[in-house]
Amino acid sequence: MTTQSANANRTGVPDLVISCVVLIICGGALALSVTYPPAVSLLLPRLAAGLGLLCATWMILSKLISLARQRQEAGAARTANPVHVHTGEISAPAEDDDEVDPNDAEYVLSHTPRRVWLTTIGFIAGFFLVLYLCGLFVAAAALSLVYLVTVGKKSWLFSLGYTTVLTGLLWVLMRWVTYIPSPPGILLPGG
Amino acid sequence: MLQNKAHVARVAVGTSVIGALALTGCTAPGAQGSSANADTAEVCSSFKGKTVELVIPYSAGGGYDVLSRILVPGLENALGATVIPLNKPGAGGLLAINQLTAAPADGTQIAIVNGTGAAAAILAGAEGPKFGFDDLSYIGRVAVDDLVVTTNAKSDYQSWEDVMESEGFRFGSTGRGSSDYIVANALIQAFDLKGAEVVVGFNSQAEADLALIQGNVDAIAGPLDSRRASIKSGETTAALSFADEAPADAADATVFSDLDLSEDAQGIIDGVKLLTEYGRPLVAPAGMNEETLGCLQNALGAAMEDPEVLEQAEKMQRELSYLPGKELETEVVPKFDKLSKDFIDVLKASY
Amino acid sequence: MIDAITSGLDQVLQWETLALMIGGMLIGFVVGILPGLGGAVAIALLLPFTFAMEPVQGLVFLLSMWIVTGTAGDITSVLFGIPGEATSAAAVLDGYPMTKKGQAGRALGIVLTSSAMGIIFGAIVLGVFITVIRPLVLILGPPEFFMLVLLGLAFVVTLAGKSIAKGMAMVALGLLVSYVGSDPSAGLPRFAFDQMYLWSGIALIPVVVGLFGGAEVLQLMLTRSSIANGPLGDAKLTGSMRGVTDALRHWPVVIRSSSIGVVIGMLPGLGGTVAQWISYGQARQSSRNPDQFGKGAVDGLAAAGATNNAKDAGSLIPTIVFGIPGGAATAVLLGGFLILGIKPGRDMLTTQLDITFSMVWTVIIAGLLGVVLAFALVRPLAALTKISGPVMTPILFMFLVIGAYTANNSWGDLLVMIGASVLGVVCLRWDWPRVPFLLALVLGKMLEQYLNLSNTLFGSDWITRPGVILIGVIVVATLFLSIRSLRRDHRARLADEPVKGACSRVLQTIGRKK
Repeated sequence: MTTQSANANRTGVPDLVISCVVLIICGGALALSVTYPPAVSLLLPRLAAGLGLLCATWMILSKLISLARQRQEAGAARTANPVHVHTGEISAPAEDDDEVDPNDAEYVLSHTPRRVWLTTIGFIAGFFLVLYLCGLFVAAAALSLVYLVTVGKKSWLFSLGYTTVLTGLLWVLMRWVTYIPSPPGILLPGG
Repeated sequence: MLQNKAHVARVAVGTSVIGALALTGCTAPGAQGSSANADTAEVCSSFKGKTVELVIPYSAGGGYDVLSRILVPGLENALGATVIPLNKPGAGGLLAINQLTAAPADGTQIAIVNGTGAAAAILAGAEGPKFGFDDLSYIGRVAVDDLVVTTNAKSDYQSWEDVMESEGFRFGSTGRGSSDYIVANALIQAFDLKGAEVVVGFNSQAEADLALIQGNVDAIAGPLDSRRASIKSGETTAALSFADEAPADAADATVFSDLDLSEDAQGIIDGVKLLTEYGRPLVAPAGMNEETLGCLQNALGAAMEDPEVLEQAEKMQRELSYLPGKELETEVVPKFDKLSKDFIDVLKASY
Repeated sequence: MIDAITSGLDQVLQWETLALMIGGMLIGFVVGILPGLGGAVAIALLLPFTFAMEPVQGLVFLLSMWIVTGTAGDITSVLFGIPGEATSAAAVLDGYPMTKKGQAGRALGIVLTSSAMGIIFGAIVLGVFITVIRPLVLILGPPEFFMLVLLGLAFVVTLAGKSIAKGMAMVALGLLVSYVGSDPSAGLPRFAFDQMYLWSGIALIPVVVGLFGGAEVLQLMLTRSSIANGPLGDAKLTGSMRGVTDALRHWPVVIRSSSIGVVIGMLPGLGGTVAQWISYGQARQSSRNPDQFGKGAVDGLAAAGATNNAKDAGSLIPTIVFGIPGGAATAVLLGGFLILGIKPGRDMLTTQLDITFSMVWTVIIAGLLGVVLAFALVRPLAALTKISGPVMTPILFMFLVIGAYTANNSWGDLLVMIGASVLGVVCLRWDWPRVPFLLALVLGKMLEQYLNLSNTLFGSDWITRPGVILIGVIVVATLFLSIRSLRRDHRARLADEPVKGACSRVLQTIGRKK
């Protein structure tokens, strides 16, 4: 059951959603292009938006049809022989799986537990928040210390050392060796 | 509308501005306290050990970047502060200046401006600059743009007289609003060049130069700094110079004193010349405390005589042209109100 | 001519000059490793240090630094999936998957060897043809540029992935994003939503960094394992020698890619961003294992490495011949030349030909030394990919942030990078192709610019220019071949016939082991 739903996910609904987003973006761009004065060159943007609309519509239609067919077949199969549909549906992805190792992006992204996802996104959001508030160096130090201790399960000593070295190197490289501007924070503009 | 836009833009992109605002919170009280009745030296000592950001509104490696980096040691010596050059490209150099005018006027943030471009945009009422001439404190002009017109060295146009007799002359330009467009447009109007046009859309000065050498356009008008390499390579000729005396790198160029100009034409050419006189000034946000501004102005004055700066400038082949901030403010800026209508029309047609 | 060649070599082979070359290379290496910081910035920052030097010394210093940044930029692409520069994005596509399979050493071996071959090829073209190449550069104008950009875009069909509709939808999105900003004729902002940041368009670097690097770093955070995590991981940590032979074995691809790199590199404005995709596309089209592209194709990686370095030699050509820089870095380099008293133009091809050849020799020697230096570092660098994910994550975060921020030094860059990362993740998760998006983003603006310029300069006559027709034929042939191979692939998939090839066989065994 899970494989079947994953399978439907893989070919059906998400593609439909993404196609709709493409449709909206391209439609919006087309609508927006009407508002500009005639001097603005809009031939290619309009062609691009048109191409997007065309492809998105095509995707949506074909996905809708295949979804409807799937549902129909699933309904028919439930009454007759469920295994039959299963093999037919699975064979294509199964072949893909042969070439896919557990490192494959799609696999990683779809098989990561929700908790890990949330922690990861939390860290990313936290990092950019600290970056926004205090600038790059504080953010770098905070991220490496907290991430190493909590996710990396490293000792405090290791984490502290690592953080010091990383932040120090960063500081030396960006403030002494070359002056590469780094994002300042609103609380600590110098950093 | 503009206010609202500015706000959103600042929240989205200009954290540095917010950063600088926050900085005011820390430094402003100190600065005010000391300015109450302190003499200049004491106020200027408030710069000691501080960090001043010198905003460069273009990418590293460009003309403005090189010029600013030449100044940095001189400013540091004079102020006793650390001066950090900060490249902030965007919107043709206007984005950074918009952000600067919204920054606190405490001397911690100054900028070099493409004065020619900014002034033209302000005078034309173009979308882009959210500041006027009064929204800037002038520390002083650092350099001027030596405008020249270059033609293909093998073409029929070897002097400006040739161009004046031309028909269907084509200038190459990177785009509307850029100085190569404005100057070309001004020349077309002033000399009433028959059927002349400005071809826009070149991706960079290099591509415009290539088109000139290929013979796809007849001339490019713009700062000598961008033209120097192709002149030196012998591929192009400087046919016209806006300077009073033809610069060394374009010695054979026609200058306007050689030409008989009608009054209208003179008005337009004077307009262009005024833009170049505004040049490349160093500015700070308006409303700056007199003494702090005085410190910066004196520091720039000292920097422009600093042997280290002069030596660097000579080696980098950058000509400096210092005009004190006060003179820039009292003698150059007021002239913007007296420009001929023809010239303003040229500017308006250039955006 | 022979005199000039030997005297050029003589001038480079001085102890002091060589010492400066090594110094320049080391700096170039560090700068190249830092993402986003390209040769242009490095040259700009170090220009003042050349004042005390003799012209040739200064030249050698700047050139060697710049040449090495290209090679070093490919290293981060391969190791961390974070492109050092927009021009090394193609190296990510096949280099990073190899690294993930634990073949970092091999991947580095391939990319470094092909880089070296690209540099040498480029330098030879530079040296042999520089005195006669003038007419070629003079006949290629905006119409031909437009057709070349179109050729780059034509490869999108090849690179679109399994579903052509998805690929084309991504092309449309990429094009639309590329049209954000001032329009080329009226100079008015389009699709800028009242944000001045967007006036100059979406910068490429943050997008490339996010689209590839951001998405990869996220995966690393999710798996919490080391980058190299494949079943072959333990045995093949280095294996750089294997990479060397791989690259040598694919010499036809390398030579073709180098030629593409040199020719497009010498056209001011087009440069590496276009060249890498044309060369990557042709490599896939001519490959026996096109299915492996994007999953660790040896020929794809070799093509990317070769082009990226050959184009640098190419972009020196107009710089020396006309004083017109071929790209951003050569623009700064040209400033350096003038400061050093080296005057570009005809003199460089006649009376000062020896200086030109000292440049050629510098490119060759510095390029090779840079590769040797990089090879010395392959083992420690490849070991980085075995470090546990959480330990690497903070470093990679810095790469992302600094890399994106260098575009405009603005928070907008970071927002673009985050947006691109999200797009990258969505694409990976639901199997939408990323490359067509990037390709369209890179080429869209140029396509429009050159179309407009061609029309204003030549009316509609430009269509009949011989160069246009010639490239047009190539475009049509490319489209024809792509569509044919696409249909063949499609049939093969329908027939449930696994595509044979060395790599896929290896992968099948991996699959079985698992």
